[in-house]
Amino acid sequence: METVQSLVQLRELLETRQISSYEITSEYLARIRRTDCQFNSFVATYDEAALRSAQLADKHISDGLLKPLIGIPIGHKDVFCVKGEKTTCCSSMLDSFVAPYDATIVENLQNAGAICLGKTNMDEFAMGSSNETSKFGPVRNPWNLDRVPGGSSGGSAAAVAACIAPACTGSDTGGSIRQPASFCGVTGFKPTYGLNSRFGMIAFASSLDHPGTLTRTVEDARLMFNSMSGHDTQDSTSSTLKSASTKSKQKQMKLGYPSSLFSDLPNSIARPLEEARKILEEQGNTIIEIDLPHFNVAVAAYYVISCAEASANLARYDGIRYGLRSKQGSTFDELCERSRSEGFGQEVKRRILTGTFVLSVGHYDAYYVKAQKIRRLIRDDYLRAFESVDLILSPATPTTAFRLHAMDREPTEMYKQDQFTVPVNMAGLPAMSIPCGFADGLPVGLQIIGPHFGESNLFELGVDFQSLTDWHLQCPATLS
Amino acid sequence: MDDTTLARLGQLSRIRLEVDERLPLLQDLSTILKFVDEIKSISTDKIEPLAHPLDSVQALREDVADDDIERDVYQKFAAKTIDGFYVVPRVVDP
Amino acid sequence: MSCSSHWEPVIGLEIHVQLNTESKLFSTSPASVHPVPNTSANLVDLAIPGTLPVLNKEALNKAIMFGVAIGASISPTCRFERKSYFYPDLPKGYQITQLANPIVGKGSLDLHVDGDTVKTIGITRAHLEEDAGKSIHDRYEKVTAIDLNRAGTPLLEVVTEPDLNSSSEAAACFRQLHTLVTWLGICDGNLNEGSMRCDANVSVRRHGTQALGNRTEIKNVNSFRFVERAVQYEIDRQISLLEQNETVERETRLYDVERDETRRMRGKEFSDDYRYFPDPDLLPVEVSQDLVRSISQSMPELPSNRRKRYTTYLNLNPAVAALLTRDRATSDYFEAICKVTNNASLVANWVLGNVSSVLNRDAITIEKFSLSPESLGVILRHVDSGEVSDALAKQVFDQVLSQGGSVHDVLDQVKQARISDNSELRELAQTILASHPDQVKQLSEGKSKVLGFLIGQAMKTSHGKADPKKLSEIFIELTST
Repeated sequence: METVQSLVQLRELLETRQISSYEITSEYLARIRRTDCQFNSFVATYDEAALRSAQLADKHISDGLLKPLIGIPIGHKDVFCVKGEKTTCCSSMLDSFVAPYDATIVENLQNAGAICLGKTNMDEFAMGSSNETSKFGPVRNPWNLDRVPGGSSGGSAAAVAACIAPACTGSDTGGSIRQPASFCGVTGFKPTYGLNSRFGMIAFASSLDHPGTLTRTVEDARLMFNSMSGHDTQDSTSSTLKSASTKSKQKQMKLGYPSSLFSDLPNSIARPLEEARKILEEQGNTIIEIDLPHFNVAVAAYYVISCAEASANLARYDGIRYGLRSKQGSTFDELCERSRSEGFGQEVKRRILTGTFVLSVGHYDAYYVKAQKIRRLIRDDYLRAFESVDLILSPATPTTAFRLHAMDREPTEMYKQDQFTVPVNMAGLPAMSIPCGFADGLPVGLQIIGPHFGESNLFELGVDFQSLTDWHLQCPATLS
Repeated sequence: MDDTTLARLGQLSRIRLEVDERLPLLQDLSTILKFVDEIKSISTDKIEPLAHPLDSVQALREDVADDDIERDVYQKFAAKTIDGFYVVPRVVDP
Repeated sequence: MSCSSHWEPVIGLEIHVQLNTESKLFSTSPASVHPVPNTSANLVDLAIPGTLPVLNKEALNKAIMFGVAIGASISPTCRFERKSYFYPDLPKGYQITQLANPIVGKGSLDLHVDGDTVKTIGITRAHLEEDAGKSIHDRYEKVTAIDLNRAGTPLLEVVTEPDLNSSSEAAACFRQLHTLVTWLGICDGNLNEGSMRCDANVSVRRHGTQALGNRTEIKNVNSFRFVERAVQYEIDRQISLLEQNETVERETRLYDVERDETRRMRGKEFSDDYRYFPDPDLLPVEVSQDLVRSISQSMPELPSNRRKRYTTYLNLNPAVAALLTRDRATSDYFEAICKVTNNASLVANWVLGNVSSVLNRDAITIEKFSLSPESLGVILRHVDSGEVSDALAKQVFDQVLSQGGSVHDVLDQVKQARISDNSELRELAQTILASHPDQVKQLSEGKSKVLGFLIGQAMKTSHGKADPKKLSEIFIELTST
């Protein structure tokens, strides 16, 4: 088996019986065992269960029961509940929590035939952009082990980059799929809000949380999306609308280009992005200058909203029904305070406290309501832009992968990592980051953003780009 | 952001703040607030708040009950239970 | 006790009505609370990470029905907020409730005392929210036990304007809301099981002044009588404080049933900060005009309307009409009898008299009453036509209830056993006349009312077996000579 394999290739190999699911699954489990000590991308593997499922898949394949992802092993970010398995959000709080049910997307992927290799590392409760806040320790970037993989889906991005999982699920609240995808040189995709069910995904900020994927190719992202998505009666924000994600005819597109977003980038990053733009232009797509006037305040507004929602979403961790319970505490209040204090890490605490502040009496209007108003302005900027363009091009991140601990004392510097991705979550738009080159040996991602339910064009352009480039097929030197 | 506010936030969110945590947290939260204060620079007169990105409405559920409930499974990951009850130190009404 | 007429009590109520849906407000677990702890609490009710709320359509419909019944505006879009606080029986650390856009807006309720409308009470709003679980403090040593079976059951919180001015009005208002929600069939009305719980905000002010005094909130009272007593205690307590030039503190108080007093629970000085904000797990709910229309069309006729019909068209007095409409089953029973016989006041007397006594004696509700309204109607038709005396009818009624059998058969039996022999009746009449010389004199002076009395005496002596029609003729014959 080749080192780099897309899902589409694996499916081809399986369907033509050139390889069995058992062989594929064993191979990935072996790679994890062999190399993941360097990256720390998986926090748990389900070797036995995975191999058992693989054998069953092989039987199904030989019986001609072909499902879209049959026999293909994938990893799940530890934010998704997998029945009977520990689901911890990489927090001490949930150290002992065994999920009693499957997340909808986990179930959907399983129904499509996918096999679960295990759980991938992440920032605690998906709060972070460097995967340094995990209780399982930081993940290292396969392109450079001194660098972070980005976050919060850092484990998933690193695993795909290191070819120890062909694809992984992720979650994206402010960029948590696209930023690590960009840092690790893989394809990170999240659909329109509501298309992938949030049921069974442990909540960070409900109105911003998007389940999605980290894959080798855009074609793989589409394959995963087609199996994952769909209306879920257990998530009342789940969309009843369907997105057209099948191949469409539209070839030449109008691409919005907010040039001010590119102008402040360091040259090393601006250059590959410029190259990417040219490639797309040469394909007959039209580049149209657009303006996103409220882009600059998006991160600030995002922090108000996401922390507010998180402060309530994380109030359920009181040590009673599940989760860490302090050994000390003679009253309920004390027990609760101690449990939460011991169970949550610093970044989580900071965000809960911030969220509590912006919702409290006297601050609600000035912060929370104000941020919601800005959210409308941001969304309307996009809606206006999409009146004249099909898709929008944007950087994915302002830098390439930074060094571990580089932002330890700078929480807000870390927040700015998400400046290009956050506004997209505020508007609930589909978007992806795809590899478009390197800067000083580290991957650079191009972000493509679509209108609501515009997944089809997004995939189309991404597939086109990847047919003309091979950035997505590159492998870090650490693998050889 | 001052010490009293921080203490109040800790109390509201039930996060115990140890003495040595307070100063760094105070600094961090001040930085964060200064950062988010940027939103105040934007005029939002006559703008309606937006709670959700899509202008959609809620899908409701038919009133059908199911008793797919496995108490013993759910209580396995609870730190402490007695006779099927969850338990906490006695809460006394003041 | 100071009972000063200088003071005017001002009372508003907040009543939690548990809606009788099959499943909970935001989860599919059964809404009927199971007695075994934590066996009707599912993953959503336990706030297991990753679970999400999905609103029960029926709970919304029931709230809308209530709104229509009180003539309220129904919000075309409503939304849900999170109310954050920590308590062991509140699994999510917040309660999903409605703050800014409640489903039911301003409406009103006509308050009746003995059938007369005394005033119209404003209903400020009614909103949907989920109930918490139960904390049991006294079962185990040193610990509080938590049962989350009740967590997530649907509540409609009804908030009245401070339009009530006495403890009896407060109790009447609670009672009337009880009638209304059970009438509509949206709540089982079982007060003992907490299906309706009342909080009362009480303050007093000097008569003639506008400004409201400091108010206290009495929490969680669950009977009409206790509401009256708790509010009265609180009114008296506040007046006596004010008369001693002391101030009433804003606080939450609990009513102690045993000692018949309210006690301070917590002050308002460290006011809670619930950090309400729109629940991001729940999009706005759209309530179409069509939905409101179809719900109002499917609604039963309201008690107020029936009351009006009874007094206007059936000529019943308001107090009787009020009693008949205290619950829908009684009213329905009454109406079913009226389909068989025309004498509404006779029917009303029977329903509120004989029927009601049997129900009380057997401690059952009218739904469990074994005599069908059609059968009772047949009996009363005989009374109305004069074929059977009231006393005999009562015998038939008792016999059918105790021994069963068809009303027609029993009626025939008693009619046969009846003394209709003229000589026998004449003998009876003469005995009665002989022992009532005064009445005989009055009768001869033209006071015909006395005739009824004499017939009554004769019926009594004959244990109801005499034929009253014939008796009447005989009495007239005997006294007119």
